[in-house]
Amino acid sequence: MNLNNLTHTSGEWLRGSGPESDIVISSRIRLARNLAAFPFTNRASAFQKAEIEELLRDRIAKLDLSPNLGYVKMAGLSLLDRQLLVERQLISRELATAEGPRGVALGAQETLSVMVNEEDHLRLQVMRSGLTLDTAWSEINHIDDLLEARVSYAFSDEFGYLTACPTNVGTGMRASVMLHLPALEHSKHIDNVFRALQKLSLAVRGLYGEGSRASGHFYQISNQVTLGKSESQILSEIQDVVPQIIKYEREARQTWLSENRQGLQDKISRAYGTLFSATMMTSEETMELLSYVRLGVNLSLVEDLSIPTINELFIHTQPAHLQKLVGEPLDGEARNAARARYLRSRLRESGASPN
Amino acid sequence: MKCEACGQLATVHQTTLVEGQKRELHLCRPCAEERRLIQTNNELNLPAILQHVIGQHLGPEMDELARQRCPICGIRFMEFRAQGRLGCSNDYECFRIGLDSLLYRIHRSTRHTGKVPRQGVPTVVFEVALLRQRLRAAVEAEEYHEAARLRDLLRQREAGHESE
Ligand SMILES: [Zn+2]
Ligand SMILES: [Zn+2]
Repeated sequence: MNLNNLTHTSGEWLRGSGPESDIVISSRIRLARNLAAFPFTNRASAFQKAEIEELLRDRIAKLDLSPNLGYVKMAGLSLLDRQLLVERQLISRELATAEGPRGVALGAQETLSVMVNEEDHLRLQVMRSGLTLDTAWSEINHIDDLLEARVSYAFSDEFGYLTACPTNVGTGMRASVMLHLPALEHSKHIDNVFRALQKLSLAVRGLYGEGSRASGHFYQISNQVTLGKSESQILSEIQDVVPQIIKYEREARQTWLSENRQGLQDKISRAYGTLFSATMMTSEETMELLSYVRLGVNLSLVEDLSIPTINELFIHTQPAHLQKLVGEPLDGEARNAARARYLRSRLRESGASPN
Repeated sequence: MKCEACGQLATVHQTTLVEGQKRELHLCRPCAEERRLIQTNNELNLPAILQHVIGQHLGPEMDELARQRCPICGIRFMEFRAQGRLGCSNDYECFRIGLDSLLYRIHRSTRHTGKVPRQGVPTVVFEVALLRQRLRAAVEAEEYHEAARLRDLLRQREAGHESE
């Protein structure tokens, strides 16, 4: 598997298609599973971890999938390549930085990834564009069934799928949707949304998960409870609440337009203009500006850029992607200069012109 | 079920250890909040919850539980408490008393109702498989004391399994 190809393509989840994709970037489901015959990863010796990896790698290769998944060992990857996979949301930071034998099996189009020897022996993930939790669930449930026929999962009738951390036990399922909510953030109503979600035991995080800030006005909403509710119950609880958030965001956009159209237009034009002409650009600023341009496209205030292009720029301007694209390691100022250069040339290529 | 403190409908249920005996505690939300069994916001902070649950409700029995060791992976309850990660699937069974109230606190439930593997899972068999693994590792590492202990444990389990 050649990771260099990743910098020239973009995953299915960046396609900007699927239901409600003006606001819902992607839907993702993760399942945590462990093998019954081994201690959990944190308690396994290096020898046992190697055994687990070999066993799972073999079983994954034998899954009846076409095309088959490609397995990548973390040990054989540079830090830059690992970071690339993290930015791509294909592996967790924990997998990138942990020790001992571990790796990831990746599917075509980047919709499926299976991490081996993360916090749990297996972390299955399916990610798709738009509000598509049902599709993601049937896909991951199918893969789980296929695996279950080939390995013995740690499972108890009482506690369900047994996981290293008690916060995942039961279904072992974490379902999330990533939302773009610039208008709710602007109107400060976002805090009310968070409070309401917390009452429903739903968690809110930034783009790159736990502890990360909501840069680019992206928010991930996911279930907190994994025990005592069925998978379909958990999914419907999220599916019940997301359309309401979408509605609030759309209303907030309309209010913003009707109360201060000129101000909003100015904010978007300035963002666009800066992306087009700046010579130094931090990752944070890029996210913020691209977010306004994305809003502009969705409100038809920007007409010569497409959502997939913007989605891709969000990822391609992350540190590892940028260094891969430029072809050399860059630090601090050099990276900010390269980012600005990259943005300018990509925007020109795509025929954009700020008005 | 009625709240043991005030007689209203109990919505908070905790299992605690009193003098080595499992004891159920049922309270209404206000009474539970008063006793600081649940926090008013829903922030999930696992280490804090662990400290809280274990420190407050197990009291003198905490020491006993904290020292308790899983016979299969060797983790002590106090290590789990410090790291927030369990060592093997058997820990759900052997630390059950400490975990029950923790699970309730995190999930408001202690019972799985979701997907079940199609080919039912005989957990005892896996415990045996796990013991065999440990035994092999102990022999490899020339830890004969540990190996002897595991061999005894394994014999017990296998005997128990056959007589079922
Ligand atoms: Zn009461
Ligand atoms: Zn154990």
